[in-house]
Amino acid sequence: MLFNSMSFLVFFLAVWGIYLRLPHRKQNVLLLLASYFFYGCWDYRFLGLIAFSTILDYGAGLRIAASENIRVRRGYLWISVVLNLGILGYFKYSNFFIENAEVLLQLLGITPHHWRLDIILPVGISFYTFQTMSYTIDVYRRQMSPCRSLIDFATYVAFFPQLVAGPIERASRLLPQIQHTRTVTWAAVQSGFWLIMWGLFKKAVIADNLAGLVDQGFNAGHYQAGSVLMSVYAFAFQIYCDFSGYSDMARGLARWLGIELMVNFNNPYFAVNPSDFWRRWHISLSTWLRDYLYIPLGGNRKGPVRTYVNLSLTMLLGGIWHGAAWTFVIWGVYQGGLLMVHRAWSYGRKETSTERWTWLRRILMFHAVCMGWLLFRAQSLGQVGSMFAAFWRAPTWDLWAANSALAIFLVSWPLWVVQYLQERTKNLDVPAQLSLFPRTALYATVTIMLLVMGNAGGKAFIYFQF
Amino acid sequence: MSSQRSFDNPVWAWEQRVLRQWWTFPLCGFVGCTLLGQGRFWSWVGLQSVDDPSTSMWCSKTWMVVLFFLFIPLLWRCGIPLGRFLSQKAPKIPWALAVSLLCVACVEWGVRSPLWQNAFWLAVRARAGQQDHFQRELSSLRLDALEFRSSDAPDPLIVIGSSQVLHGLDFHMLREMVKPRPVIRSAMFGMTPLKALSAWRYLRVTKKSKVLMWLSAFDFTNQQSFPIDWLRPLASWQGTPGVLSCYSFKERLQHRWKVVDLMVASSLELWRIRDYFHSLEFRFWGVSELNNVPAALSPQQQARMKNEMRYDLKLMPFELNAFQSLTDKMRTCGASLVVFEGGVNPELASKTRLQYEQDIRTWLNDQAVQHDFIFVPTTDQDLSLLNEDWTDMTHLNSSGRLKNTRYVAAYLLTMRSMGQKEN
Repeated sequence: MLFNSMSFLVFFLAVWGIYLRLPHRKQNVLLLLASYFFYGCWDYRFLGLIAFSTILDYGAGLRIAASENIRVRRGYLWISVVLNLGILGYFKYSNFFIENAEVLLQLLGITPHHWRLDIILPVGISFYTFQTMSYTIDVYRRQMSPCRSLIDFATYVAFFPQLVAGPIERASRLLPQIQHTRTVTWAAVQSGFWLIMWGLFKKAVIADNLAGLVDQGFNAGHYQAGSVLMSVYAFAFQIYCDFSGYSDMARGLARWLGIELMVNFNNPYFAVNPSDFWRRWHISLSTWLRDYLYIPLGGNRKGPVRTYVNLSLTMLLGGIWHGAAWTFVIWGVYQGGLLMVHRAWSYGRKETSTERWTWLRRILMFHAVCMGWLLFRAQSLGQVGSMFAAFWRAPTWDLWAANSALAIFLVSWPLWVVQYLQERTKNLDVPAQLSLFPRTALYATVTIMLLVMGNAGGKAFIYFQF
Repeated sequence: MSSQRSFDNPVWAWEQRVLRQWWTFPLCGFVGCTLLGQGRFWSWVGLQSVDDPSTSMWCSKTWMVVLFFLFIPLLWRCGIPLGRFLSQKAPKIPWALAVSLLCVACVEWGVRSPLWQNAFWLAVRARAGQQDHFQRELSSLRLDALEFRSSDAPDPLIVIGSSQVLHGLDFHMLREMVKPRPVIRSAMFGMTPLKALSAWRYLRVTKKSKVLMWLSAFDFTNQQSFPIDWLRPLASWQGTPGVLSCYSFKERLQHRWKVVDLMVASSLELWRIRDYFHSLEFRFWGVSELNNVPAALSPQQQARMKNEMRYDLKLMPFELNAFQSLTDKMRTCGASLVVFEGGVNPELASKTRLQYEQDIRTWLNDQAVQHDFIFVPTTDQDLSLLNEDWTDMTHLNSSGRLKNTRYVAAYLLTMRSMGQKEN
């Protein structure tokens, strides 16, 4: 059941209608049942897995909090981490490791028996695994007290608006909201409605429309510079709008339920350097990696060399988190490399604040990010090579590239306008604060574009596969 | 929200800054006119070079556009106190949303206007690729419907049916042969009875029309169960209730979202044109394709497809229902119907097909008696088509088309001279 489908609309309105009439405890039970139903619609066989992960971390949290013995506490933490990562690793990376082990054996002259595990990747496993792990680690660190109610904890793990593609909510933020009485205000409903519309616009108008361009561009038999450039630009907007559109809809839906989810994207293409980009892109994952990996590894406290190692290791794992393929590994290495180069470059320098330079830096950063997206989207390293080679082998600009450039502009111009305003005013809530005329124009534009250009087929979100 | 405004608010400050530069709006309008005026817009629509560069940019249209753009900052400025007033009077009402819905309604009204429709469908037709037969036929049908609205064609002959007719009739020759009676080509690729029923509004059937329809066993078999992509661009409330009544309750429930889609398309032109707006969006400067290698079908898949398409025939009850509804509609509006049975290449022999052909022929014969229309089965058609008159299994080539057109014209002329069943 996709957010951008009619089935979900009916499901959500039914749940919401009942939800508003229930007292707090029953609301949580309803949310839990609705979340399990929502997840079960994807594949009911994996409900057991999510239930197992919930019980594991619920139990581990209670045991860790109950004990004063550091060895016992650490023991339970390790059990939770190993089992969680074990499940994630089995479902997500088994075949990748088997494939690469086979290649390695072949290089050593051994012909291995060709076999694969018949595994389906459970939707959202990377998201809820990280979410539950953060809870156990926070309890271990005594940064929060454990959740005593299994219903509340299970609702936190399976909360359907953000279950399958984030944001990866920290227990310290979401659990208290689930545990305490919530009120759904009219203002929250209105602002939630805008977030849902805006998210749907990003997904159905921008991402889904550009998906066809991207597929054509990346699957072209013969690459030309113009078409490669446009395909990569299109993918940059597709992946951003697909993922941030989901996050916006998740936030809007949660707001209708009286719950505030974290902002997962903050105009990432306005970033001026790699560090800035990772402060704006998939914020819930980057802060997770920062708090549970980069800082425990030593962060930047152990000298420049160790900082670089920590950065590259964190980004490498960030890349692997996205999927089991060498292109993701290289993407992670590339992002780590960007961060290292930026850190080395900015060491001892002052931040320039001139507007002119800011725009130049934004443009440069956007292209650096696009280079990464080429690695991310390509099917193989050979394809990456062929696409790069097009820039000197066939530096031409054809009709397809011209049409694509205009199509990218036509579908995404309201996004540019809104983001420019958000960036200029440093306020993500700009649309709600505009005066009547521009706000009306924005709402009408979004509605008309959804009607005329929106993909009604309900295409799946890219990040579901991660 | 507006009541909480203050000059410290950066959003408010930004709006003030934009409004202080109000003159940029009409300037933008003027620049837009210069870019799109002087025939450039229409040459873009038809993907042709500018044919009338001598037209002055200082025409009344330019001034109207400039004036319209001048109103934008004025409306914006007036909207500030108005928004504040409305949000104070009725803070619970989402005014911006309500006004935006009004704007959407205005745009919907605008896209229904003949000027916009003409430009849109001309642009869509110009951007149809070699294989986009449906897109080409659809835009022609919609453009013809616009022309028909403003003209009073006397006693037209309306030709409907699928690609069998489009390949099987030379319309230019037919028009010449049956003069002075006008011939309207309303046939489209894949137009089965259900689809013809759905497109009722655009078929322009009137009291004095004579409708010529081609049908074969294939029109009643192996059709997509709810072809929403075909139905959407031609949906209207004249056709949709009939279409929905062709399906059982269970089928409607099974296709519930497609039913909703069709109902929205029947109400909103913005929704109806969506698939073809995409073609403008991605073919703005013309038709362009990358050298994508299509995934080749395996021999087994090809065999299965061919088999399913032409041999393993399965009757579609909703198509039979649709044909009955269509004949009822024709009778109600006083039009006369002549149904020609579409022929099939004699090479395509199969027991199942022959059986279906016979069954459909019998059924159509019965219907002709019950619903008062003329049915001309292939057995009564004096065509003598040979193997070499066919392009493929179901479509005629140029020699077959010539024979068929002559036969149809002769048939119509005979009917006219006999005064039989004439309007």
